[in-house]
Amino acid sequence: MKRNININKKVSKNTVIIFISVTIIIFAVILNFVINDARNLTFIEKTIKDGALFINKIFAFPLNIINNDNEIKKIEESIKKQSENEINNLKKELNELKNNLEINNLLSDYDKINATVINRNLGYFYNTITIDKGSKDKIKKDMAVISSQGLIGKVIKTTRYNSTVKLLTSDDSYNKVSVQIKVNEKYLYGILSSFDKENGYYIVEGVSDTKDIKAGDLVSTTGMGDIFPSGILIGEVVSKDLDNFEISAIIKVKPSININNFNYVTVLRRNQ
Amino acid sequence: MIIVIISFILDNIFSRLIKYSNLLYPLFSLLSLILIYPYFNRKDNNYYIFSFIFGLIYDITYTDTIFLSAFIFLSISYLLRLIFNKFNYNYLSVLLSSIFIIIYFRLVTYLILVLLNYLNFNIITLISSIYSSLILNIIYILLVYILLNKKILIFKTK
Repeated sequence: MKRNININKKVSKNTVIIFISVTIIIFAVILNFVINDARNLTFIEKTIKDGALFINKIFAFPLNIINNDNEIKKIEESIKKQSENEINNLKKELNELKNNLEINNLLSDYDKINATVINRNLGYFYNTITIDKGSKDKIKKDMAVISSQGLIGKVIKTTRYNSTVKLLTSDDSYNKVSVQIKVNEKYLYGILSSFDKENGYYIVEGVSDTKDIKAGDLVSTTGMGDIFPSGILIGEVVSKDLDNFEISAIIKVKPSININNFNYVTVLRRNQ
Repeated sequence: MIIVIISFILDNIFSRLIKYSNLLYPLFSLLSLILIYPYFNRKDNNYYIFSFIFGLIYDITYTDTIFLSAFIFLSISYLLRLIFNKFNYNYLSVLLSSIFIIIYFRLVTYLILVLLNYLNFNIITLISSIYSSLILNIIYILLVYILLNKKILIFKTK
């Protein structure tokens, strides 16, 4: 005798409603703890992530070899601009040091750790990338990540063998960087507050005196605010504009990195 | 099972294609839920559990939020069961349901993240994420459907 597969049970409406509302509440509570850039991953998450990305790395290994030749030429070309910027920054710091001899560490001291990008932009709405160095190589949260062309983002989460990097070009408002613009021989300070996705420009606010700023001025980090070391190139000024309420001036900065195309990055670690 | 693992790995490899064009975002793991539907032989509970666990693993490797994708994959597998109970499993219904699923996935993740104040409310991100993930995924699902034709014929005759 065959049993009926679909037995219509009579489930009362109340239990269904209670069940659904309880699951929604549990869901909301879990999400509240989980969707947070500043949280540390638990042990189980780290092991599963490392395992799955290890398998992915095996299959992606041939592609890395194919891409290598083009990358080397591009890296050689773009190192020139970055080192020009570093030299200017060092000159400025040495001048300040001559006036003030009681500093323990320079704002531009850092160690470099090289890493490859494993997968790109696959997090929610394409704000993050994953790189293949983790806490085993002493990478911690909030370290700056650069490519040969300029600043890319900062590390937000680490597992033992991989880390997640949040890009500077993401839309949310947690990404403020303190920047300096080199105008003739002096530096003006401002805050990089957001990225305009439609036109592809960073928006810098809070600069006090904008009349001497012209297109082509280099924009780099200041090192104040304790997250990014100083002197890292961010981009070039494109134009000045008024903000949405037409009260204060904002400056549009074109990023120095090629937004979609980087395979090899460097993580900077401050010498404390 | 093999389809799922291959889709997972191809997701990673094809995410590098973004550097060539802005319109090529892969979502193969999501579409593999459609492709494995015939293999479960109408045992729906196994299908739900499998999609939940697969969503969990997808979550942990590619994004860092644990249960969001898992619950969305579960709801998508429930919707797929409803769709394929009514309609036949042929290439046109697979195509249309894949478009529907992509839109559903993007919309639901966008709404939940905006509610939790993780993203700012900007409708252009939503629309651009939908249309930029359509092309590559449609090509993928049609290719894999043609490759798997044999097993699907067996499924249809039951």
